[in-house]
Amino acid sequence: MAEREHWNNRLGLIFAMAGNAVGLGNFLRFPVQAAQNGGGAFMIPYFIAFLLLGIPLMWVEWSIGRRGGQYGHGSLPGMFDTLTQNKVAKYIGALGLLISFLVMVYYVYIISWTLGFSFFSIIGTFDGIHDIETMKTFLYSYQGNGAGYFTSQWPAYFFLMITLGINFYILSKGISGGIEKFATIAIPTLIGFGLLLVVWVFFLGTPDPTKPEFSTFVGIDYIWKPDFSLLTTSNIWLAAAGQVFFTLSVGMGTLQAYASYLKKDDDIILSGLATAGINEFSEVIIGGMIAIPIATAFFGLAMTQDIAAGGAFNLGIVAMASVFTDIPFGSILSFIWFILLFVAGVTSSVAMAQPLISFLQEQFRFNRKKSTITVGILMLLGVHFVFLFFEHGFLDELDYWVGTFALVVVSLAEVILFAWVFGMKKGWEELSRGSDIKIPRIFYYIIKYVTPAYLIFILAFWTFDSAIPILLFKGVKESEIIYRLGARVFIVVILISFISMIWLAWKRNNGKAFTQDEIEGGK
Amino acid sequence: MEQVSTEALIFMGLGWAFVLLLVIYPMKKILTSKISYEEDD
Repeated sequence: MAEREHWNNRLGLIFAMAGNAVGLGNFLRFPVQAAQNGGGAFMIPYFIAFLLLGIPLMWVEWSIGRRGGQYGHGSLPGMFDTLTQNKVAKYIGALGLLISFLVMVYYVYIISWTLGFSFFSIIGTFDGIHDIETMKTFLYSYQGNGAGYFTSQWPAYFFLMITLGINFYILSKGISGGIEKFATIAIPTLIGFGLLLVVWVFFLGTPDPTKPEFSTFVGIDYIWKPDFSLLTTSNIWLAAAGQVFFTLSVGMGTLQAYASYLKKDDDIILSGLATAGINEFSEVIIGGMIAIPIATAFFGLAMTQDIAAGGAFNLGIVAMASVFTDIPFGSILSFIWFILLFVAGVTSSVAMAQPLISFLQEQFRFNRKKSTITVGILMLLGVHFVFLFFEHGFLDELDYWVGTFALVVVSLAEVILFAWVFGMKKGWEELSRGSDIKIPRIFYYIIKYVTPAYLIFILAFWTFDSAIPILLFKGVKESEIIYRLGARVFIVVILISFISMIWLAWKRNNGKAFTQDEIEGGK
Repeated sequence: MEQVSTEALIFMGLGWAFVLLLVIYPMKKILTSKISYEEDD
């Protein structure tokens, strides 16, 4: 009898899980958030959120995933259904399919820019560009957002297709043969490249001795110097919670999908800590030490603050690309930076396709090949909307509703289902089973009370602070409204499709996952 | 390096120490105790 797929070895699983978590946010979002929210003081709410929100949610997701896998489920509908025996729970799980699928739809487009820029670094396409404004024009014209260096969007389209192709090639090889193998090479490579750049930051110091304030060390000071006065404001606490949330990739359904390929008594606590550790290493030690210190050394602190205020891509793509054109071996360093971002992006994006691939296999009896091709075709259709309507705010709208707001909704739902519906006593047994270390008892209470309360607070604040104004198109250009409405219709249509598929699967087979033998037998 | 203030250095040191502990503790335990999923079979 054929078994459900499993991870080949523990280190491979840890690298794959870490790869899921390590993404562009570690290198681009974190330094900007830290610098804008109190520098060193940001680390206080950041690590508190990490312990009260990030670690508990991560363990809960690993646990839900491992349990779901025992019933043959690799996606949230089946996992929530078996966890709670509640008729509605599987439909809440539709959000897990929606988030992972739609975030991938726009995320592959973003990471394809980094692939394009790593290629341009090598062939010297932007060698003559030394200032920020011209580099911005270069990026915008590449994205089809205004005239400039590129006369058409074909180069962007080409790199988008290559990125999609790489993703689905890895996915077609399966869990251990594709994702695990890729992560085992990608994560050490990514960390090696990152450390190389961190060492370079220390050696770079003050590139122009006539401008001593233009120094990487001034940038390091800017990121880490604590401003304790900000600790009394709610913004820093919410920003820290948000960053922890995004960086660990919780609330997406991807951690659960990967964890479903564990065996019943495999440890999840120590392995979970190891993956969180690798993620934090990439974020705090590597991510915090590259973009802002380098930009400060070339543009000075005041301008770096302006650049960072313009967003993570302004800093990580525009500013970094212009810096590298100014220095010896710049094209090599530029290539290392952009390929690092690309690899970090791909290790995350492959995880995003996995829940839907599992869902089609286990509920609709698709074999791996058929399932991967189906998701690949759906993805191909979806990315065209993002690609064509990017300049009209289509991506931003998806990113807010699916990639930000819905993550908190799913996290809150799953922690309530786990700690309150399934029951914390059973949940604790589930978490502890096979554990290589004893979980501190305090996490029993944190998972049951603190994490849900923390999430309710974040959800309430975000609803009033951003969701309502965004829903009402506050501050949105009139010409963009139709496209943003289109993005919402797109989200709703996909959600309804997933809900209908869940309804159909449960009607046909009462939600029972097909076994590996049945799947391989195919239809 | 003198452009980095003492407070920044302290916070950077604490942040790095926490993160390094978070990587080294589980990884050391996993790699040295030979706790491996394969051996569960």
